[in-house]
Amino acid sequence: MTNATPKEHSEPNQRPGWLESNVRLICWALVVMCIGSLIAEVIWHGVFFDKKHPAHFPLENVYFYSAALGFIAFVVVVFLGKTLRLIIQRPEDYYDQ
Amino acid sequence: MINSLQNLPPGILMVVGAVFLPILGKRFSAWGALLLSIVSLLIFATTNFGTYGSIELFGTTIDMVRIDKLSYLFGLIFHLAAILSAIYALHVKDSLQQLTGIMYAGAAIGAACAGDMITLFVFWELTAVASVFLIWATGSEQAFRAGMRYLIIQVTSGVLLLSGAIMRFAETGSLAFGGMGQTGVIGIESTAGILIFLAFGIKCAFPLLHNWLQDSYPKATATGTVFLSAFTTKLAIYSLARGFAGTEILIWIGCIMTLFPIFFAVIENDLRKVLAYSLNNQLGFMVVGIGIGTELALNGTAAHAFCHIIYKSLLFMSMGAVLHRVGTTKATELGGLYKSMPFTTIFCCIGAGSIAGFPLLSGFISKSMIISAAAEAHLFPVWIVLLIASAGVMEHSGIKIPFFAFFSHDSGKRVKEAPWNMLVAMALASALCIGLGIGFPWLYAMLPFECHYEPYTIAHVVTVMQLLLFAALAFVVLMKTGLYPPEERAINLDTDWIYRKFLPSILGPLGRSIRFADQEIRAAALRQGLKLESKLRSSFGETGVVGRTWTTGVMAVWASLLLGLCLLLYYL
Repeated sequence: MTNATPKEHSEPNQRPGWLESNVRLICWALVVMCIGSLIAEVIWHGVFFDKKHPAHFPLENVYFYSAALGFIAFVVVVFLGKTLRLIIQRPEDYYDQ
Repeated sequence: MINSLQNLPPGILMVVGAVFLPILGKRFSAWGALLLSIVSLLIFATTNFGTYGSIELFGTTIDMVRIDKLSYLFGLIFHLAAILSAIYALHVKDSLQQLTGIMYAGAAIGAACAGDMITLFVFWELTAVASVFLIWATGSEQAFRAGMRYLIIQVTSGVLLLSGAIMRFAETGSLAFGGMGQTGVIGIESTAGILIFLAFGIKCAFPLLHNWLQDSYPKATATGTVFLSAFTTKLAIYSLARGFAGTEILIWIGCIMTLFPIFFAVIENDLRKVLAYSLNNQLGFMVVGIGIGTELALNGTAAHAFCHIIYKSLLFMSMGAVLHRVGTTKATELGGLYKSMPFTTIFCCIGAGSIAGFPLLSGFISKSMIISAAAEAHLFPVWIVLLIASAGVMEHSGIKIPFFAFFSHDSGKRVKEAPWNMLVAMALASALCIGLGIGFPWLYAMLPFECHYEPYTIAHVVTVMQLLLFAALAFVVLMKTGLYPPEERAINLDTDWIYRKFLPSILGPLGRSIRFADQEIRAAALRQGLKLESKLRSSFGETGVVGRTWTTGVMAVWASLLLGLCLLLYYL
């Protein structure tokens, strides 16, 4: 319990399991799936359809808008959360004092 | 027999039966609770749509029970949640927890099938009173205080509901809580409507009214939180859907609800509290759906509530299993648990995938209905907010919960796998998550309105996969670059700070100064009183001029002098 240092996420202090020894592989698999999802959109909309159906907003016709939105929203949420910490973070026993 | 049972509110068997559970003893009360929920479900499932239980009250006839498509759907999912929670709590040898858990579930079912406001109010308050014991059952001072705060807020909601119902009765002469699909059955135009809206809003954890949820749920027992996560807030969603469908302000309230909890969830250390924020965010989707109020949106809300109860229970179950075995759910003290709790890990990942909305899992087929309803109503800002919130869900529930509990940095903790009954409950919930993701037509057929929605179009699957995969990619990039904020042993302030710190800090000095002023005034008054007394004593006391004893001679002189004066005055 005492040697748990939460700041180091990657280095296990115990016998590494399968997942720990294959972090790179998992990350690459994710990258491949991401690229795959982009290619799927290009093939589906570029080859089979001109436009997406049924588009309600112009943004929906922009290629990869969803991927961009997912990535950017995630980063923004994390950074805003980080900033929020500066204002509202308190020691664990704050309410017990 | 079934016919006469119809006239009683569904769930009443669980409410009344729960009282007798302690008779079964510590060992069998858990099984009794499970049996009660199963029997109640069987009776409920055979009840036809309609209104039952007419009684005379206040000179008007009310129907205690109304079962239509909306209340049937909620009654059904509440029963399923009760059964899952009861299985999950089978190892608990505390009759009081079993009693209150099942009574709470029964009350929620009764409320969801209430045909009038008074029945709704009675069950509404019963859910509050029964559920607080699940928080108190932890036994700590903190849990007791959080439970008290929870109870005060919940009972306030009930009082508002009753006030609103009475005012509405005075205005319209009706106590009915009916209508579904008509927009604004109650509406917020009248004072009565606003009171009822606020009552629902408190239980639904609207922004600024939300903090009872994050304050109390993480302090309940491992099994108690599973019960709590299912009923109270979804009962509020049901009530809003019935009474306030199409109320525009709900769209904006819902948008705020989907967004703000995300930021709190990112930095929260207690994973059960992360789930409480995530619960708030999910309610936001449903509230948006109610606000839009179209058939697709209301179907989406009902479907999302159904799916959400299962995957949110599943997530709370997995964290409850961690709490049960490790003794904490703080991210800073967890990690690497997949080695010792492999099944719990898999079930948690299924729950996480469902809430994030991966195709073939339940969240995908329900959340997308609400997002599509926003698009069809041409509400671009709402649509964008819901997509951003979806990426946020991926962050806090899709990744953070499983990652920091089961993977991440190995905490070195080696514990036993969760008890068998917890695993069974999680396995059933996981099966339902997958079952709903694949067998969605079954759910769609039960929705309040006819549903023609097709979730599995290639365009939709690709869009969702891009959003989620790139959000995951962002996580990997932030982790690799060290930009992801590390978990820290700390708490974060929320609106409960106002009544836990700010008001006491203002009222403390204010009270002290009032007490001081009061003391000073009393002391001054006492001083003056004493002064007066000593003066009076000096005049009227035994030795005072007036009070002292005079000799008869002096008295005679004085009497003759006064008589002489009278005589003189008479002659003048």
